[in-house]
Amino acid sequence: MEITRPGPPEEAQIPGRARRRSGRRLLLLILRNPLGLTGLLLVLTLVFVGSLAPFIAPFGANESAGIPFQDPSWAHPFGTDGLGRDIMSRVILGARISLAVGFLSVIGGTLMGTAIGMVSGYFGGWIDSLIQRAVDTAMAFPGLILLLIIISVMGPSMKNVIIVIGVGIVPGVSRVIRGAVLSEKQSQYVEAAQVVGASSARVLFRHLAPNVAPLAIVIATTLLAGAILAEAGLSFLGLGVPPPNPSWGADVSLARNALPIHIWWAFFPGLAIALTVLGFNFLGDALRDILDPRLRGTTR
Amino acid sequence: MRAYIVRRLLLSVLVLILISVGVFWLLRLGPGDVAEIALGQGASQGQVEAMRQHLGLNEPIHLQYFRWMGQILRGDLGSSAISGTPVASELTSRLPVTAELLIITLLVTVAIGIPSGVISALYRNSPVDYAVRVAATIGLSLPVFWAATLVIILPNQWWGYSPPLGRTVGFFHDPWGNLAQFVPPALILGIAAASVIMRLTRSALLEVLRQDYIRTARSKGLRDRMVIWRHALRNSLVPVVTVLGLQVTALLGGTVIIEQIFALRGLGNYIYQSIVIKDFTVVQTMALYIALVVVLMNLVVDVTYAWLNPRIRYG
Repeated sequence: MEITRPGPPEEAQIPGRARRRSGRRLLLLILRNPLGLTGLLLVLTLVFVGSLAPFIAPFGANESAGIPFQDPSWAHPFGTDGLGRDIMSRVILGARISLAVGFLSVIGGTLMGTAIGMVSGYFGGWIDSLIQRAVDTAMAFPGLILLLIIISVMGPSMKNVIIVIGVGIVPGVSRVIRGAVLSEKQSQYVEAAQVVGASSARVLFRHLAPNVAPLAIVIATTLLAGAILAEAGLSFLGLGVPPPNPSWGADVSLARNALPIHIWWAFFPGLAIALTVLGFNFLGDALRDILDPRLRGTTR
Repeated sequence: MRAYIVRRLLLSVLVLILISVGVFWLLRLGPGDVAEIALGQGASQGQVEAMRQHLGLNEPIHLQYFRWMGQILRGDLGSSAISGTPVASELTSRLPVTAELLIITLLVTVAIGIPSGVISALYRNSPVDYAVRVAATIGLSLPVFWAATLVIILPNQWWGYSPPLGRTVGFFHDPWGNLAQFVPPALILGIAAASVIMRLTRSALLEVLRQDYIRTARSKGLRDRMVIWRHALRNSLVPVVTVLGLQVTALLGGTVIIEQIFALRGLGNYIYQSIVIKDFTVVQTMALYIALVVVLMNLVVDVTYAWLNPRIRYG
């Protein structure tokens, strides 16, 4: 069954200065959308906290900061965990892990998925069939279980988590991009390039790539939330970023198994995940509403 | 129609073969084989070699694969190399747990997702619509494991109550005890799925409401309620049902986490435990089993969809 996908956004064809202007217009549209604005603020806060984490965090991630299991106080706004570490510092430093895993895996996965989808859509024939059957196979399996199996073979580490989540993104991205290329391929500019004798590589990179790039960027934005959730889930299950790294997911897992039960230890790292994912979801939705012409008018 | 079903069947078999080859090969990429892992670090080289011989690990990998496939096709699911328990017996004892969890989860998903999607679409751009959409995005953003952890530890802290964990009681033996065990995890798992269904119901209904035949129905003088129930909702629910079928794949992944937290002895818990202790014979068989469930699910969904919508039947 073919699922019809919207073609690439209209902004795609605008070159040079006009494209810069449309970038500013995009920002204005996001700012005018209250949920998009909320998302943007959440994401900017996270990026700010993440990039300056070592300067903001009052304690080191694994520094013993006081008596274990303290409730929130002025000295420790989020309390201390079972090992006497400052929970707020770990949450702040953990932002870097979530951001690094999220961005690196999504960028890598989107690039690879876009390349595969473009080749599949452009060449068609047996190459397309081969790639699409592989994509069918990958999509016919619960993602989380596949990630767990691969990680258990490769061994849990931050690098492997990034690779595995990135690879997990590839099939979905490639399918959407393939659909876009199939419709772009009919455009006159592609035909024109082919007629004047441009090589396949030239048509793909010089002509098609800039036109599917905006779509790829929108997909990437919507995938960030899922990638961050996946890292948290893997780390929670003990097959993600290994301790003593301040991974939010791993900290919730530590708190769950600790005795006595210490709510704050589980609460704050989880809240950080929820807010981060919420921010990316709001931002991704706003971007999709603005850039997807088919949905235009249905949500605003 | 028949040609379409045959083509889909052949494709499903191909997908299953590819998954079985992929998982089998993947599990043998890492360091250490089943014999080393099963015997542990204290085993002598001779013991490991004997076990390898016994399990046929010295044969070329493709022969091992064919031997495994041959067993599976004869209905022999094999046993755990570590505990020796047959996979089939674990499967029969654990399947009812996961099945009940998934059924309650799907009920929750439909009961929350579809009505809220309809309300959101009918009161488009009203405060109600905004509230429902924000709630759905929050539902999508909640980490399942965090929500589950809080559901277990908060009542414990506040009222000294925690949902029953561990050994499951049968529904017919003790309905109340059974539901007390299954409803909390199903609710948590259902929230994210309901959010997906809500968004889809909303956009599908909005799309349908813009169609010409809706305008015709209205211009005939039909009442609003009639137009929505008889004409709009029915048509907009076709894609929703499809996605609901596909949600099962995502929910199967979710059971891994939720069964772990609520200590339910279901399939998710089984595959997770096997992955952690590197019980590869179990992992590969379970992976194939899960793929089979998903592929059959997709097949049913696609065929139903083709039956409902003749435009799909090209093939």
